[in-house]
Amino acid sequence: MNERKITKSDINKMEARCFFVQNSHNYERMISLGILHAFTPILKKLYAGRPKEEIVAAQKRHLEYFNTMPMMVPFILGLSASIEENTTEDEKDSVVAIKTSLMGPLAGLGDSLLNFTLFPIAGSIGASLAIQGNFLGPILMFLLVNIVYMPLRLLGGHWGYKKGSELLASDKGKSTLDKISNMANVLGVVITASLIPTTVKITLGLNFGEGEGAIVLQQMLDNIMPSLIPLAIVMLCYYLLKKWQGKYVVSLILGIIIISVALSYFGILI
Amino acid sequence: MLVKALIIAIWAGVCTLDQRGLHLGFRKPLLAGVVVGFILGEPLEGLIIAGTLELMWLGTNAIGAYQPPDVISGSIVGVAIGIISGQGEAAGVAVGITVALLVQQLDMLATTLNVFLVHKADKVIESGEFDKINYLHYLGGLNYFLSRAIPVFLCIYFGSSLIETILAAVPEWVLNGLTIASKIIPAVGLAMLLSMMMKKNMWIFFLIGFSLSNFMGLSTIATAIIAFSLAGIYGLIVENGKKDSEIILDDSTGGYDL
Repeated sequence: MNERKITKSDINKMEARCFFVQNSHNYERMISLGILHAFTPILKKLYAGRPKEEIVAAQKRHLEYFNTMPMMVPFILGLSASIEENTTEDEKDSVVAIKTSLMGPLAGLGDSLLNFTLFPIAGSIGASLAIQGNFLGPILMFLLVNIVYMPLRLLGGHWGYKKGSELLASDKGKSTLDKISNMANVLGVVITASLIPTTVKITLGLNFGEGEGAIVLQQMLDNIMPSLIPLAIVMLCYYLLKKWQGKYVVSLILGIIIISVALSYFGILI
Repeated sequence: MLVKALIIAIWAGVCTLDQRGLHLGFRKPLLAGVVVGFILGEPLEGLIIAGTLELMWLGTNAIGAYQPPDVISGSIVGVAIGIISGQGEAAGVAVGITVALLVQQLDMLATTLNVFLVHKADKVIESGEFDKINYLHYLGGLNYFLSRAIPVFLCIYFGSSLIETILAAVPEWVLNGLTIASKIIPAVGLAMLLSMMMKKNMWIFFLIGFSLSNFMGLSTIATAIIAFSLAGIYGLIVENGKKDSEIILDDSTGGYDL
C-alpha cells in the first residue's frame, strides 16, 4: 500500500497542466473540469490496468464542484495525489472531503497575499515608472509577480505530495493556516490603505474671492490633511459596496464618471 | 491595419488565457497594454497609456461576488485607440472604460457556455478512458480566447475610424472629465480590496498604512516592508495571545491608572 507509484515526472506533468486550469471555468462547477484535466496524469498512473468502473468513479470524483485560487491548485492536487495513493477504493470519500475542505481556506490565503497584496504592489510600482515613460516599469512588474508565482506552481505540487498529509494530520497545521491568513490580511490592509494617497487623485478648482487674497479651497483642505477627499471617496465606495453586497460595481464606476464630467464642466474639479 | 488588428486580437485572446490559467501577469492593464504599443510601433505612447490604465484599475480583480469590468480588452483597445487617434491617455481612458464595461458581458456569456462542456464531460468519462475530456477543457479555453479576440478585432479594425470620429466630436470638457474620473476610479478598486479584508480590528492597520504614505511619503516598497513587519508583530502578539485572551483583556483595563 505504501509503495510510491507516483513519480516526480507525474507531478511535473500535473503542474504543467495547472497552467491551463481555469480554461473551462463555468458558473455551475467552476474549475472542476480543469482539475480533472490537471489530475489525469496522476490518475493514469494509479489506475493503470484497473477495472473500468473504478476508473469512471475516479474521474467522477474529480469532476465535482471545485473552486479555489489558481496558485493553490498545484499544492492541493499534490496533496490529493498522496491521499489517492494511500487509500483503498472504499476510502475514496476522504480524498474529496480533504480536497473540498482545503479550497476555501487556501483561496482566502492566496487572495489576500497575492491578489490583494502582491498585484497592487507590483502594479503600482510598475505603473508609476510607466507613466514617466520608463520601460523598467512593466519589466519590474512582470518579475515581481512571477518571482512569487513560479515557486508556488513549480514546487507546490511536489511539496503538497510530500508534506501535505503530515501538515494536515496535525492540529497545528490548520491553526497555522488561520494565523498566516490573518497576518496576510494585515499586510493587505496596510498596503491597500497606503495606495489611497498615491493612486486616487482629485483637485478642487473652487476659489473664494479674487486675486491675491483669494482662498483656494484645495489648499485649505490640504492644510487640514493631504488626501482628505480621496480618503473620503474610498470610504464612501467601501460603504456602498458593503451595503450593496458587492453588486453594482459597474453602476458605481458609471456614477463616478458622470459626476466627474459634470463637476469638471462647472470647474469644480480640475 | 488588418494584420495589426489581427495580431492585437490574438494578443487579447492570449491575455485572456493568462487570466484563465497561465497567470504570468498579462491579465493586468500595464502588461497587456504595453505589448500593444510595440505592435503599433509606438512603444513609448503605449507604455504611458498602459501605465495610466493600470493605476485606474489597480484594485479591480475578479474575486468573490464581484463582477468587475473586463480590464483586458479595455486596456488593449484603450491603448490601441489612444495611439491610433493620436489623442493619448484621455482617449485611452474614455475608450478603455467603455469597452471594458461592454466586454464584461461576453465574459459572462463564455462562462455560461462552458457549463455545457462540463455536462458533456460527465457523459464522456463514462467511457472509462483517460484524457477523453481534454478537448472539452481546451474548448473552454477557446471560448474565452474568442470572447476577447473577436470584440477587440472589431473595435480596432472597423471601430477605430468610427471611434476617432466620435472622439473628434466629443467636446474637450468631456474628455477632461473622463481624465479626472480615471483618477477617482481607483477608489472603487481599493474599496473592493478593503471590503474583502476589513475585520473589526483591521482599522488600526488601515490608519497606519494610510499615514505611512500620506504623511510620511514613503514609497510602495518601503511601505511593503513595514507592512510585512507589522504582519509579523500581529502574528506574535494577537495570534499567539489568543489562548489567554482573557488575561490580556484584564491588562488593558488596568492600563488607565494614572
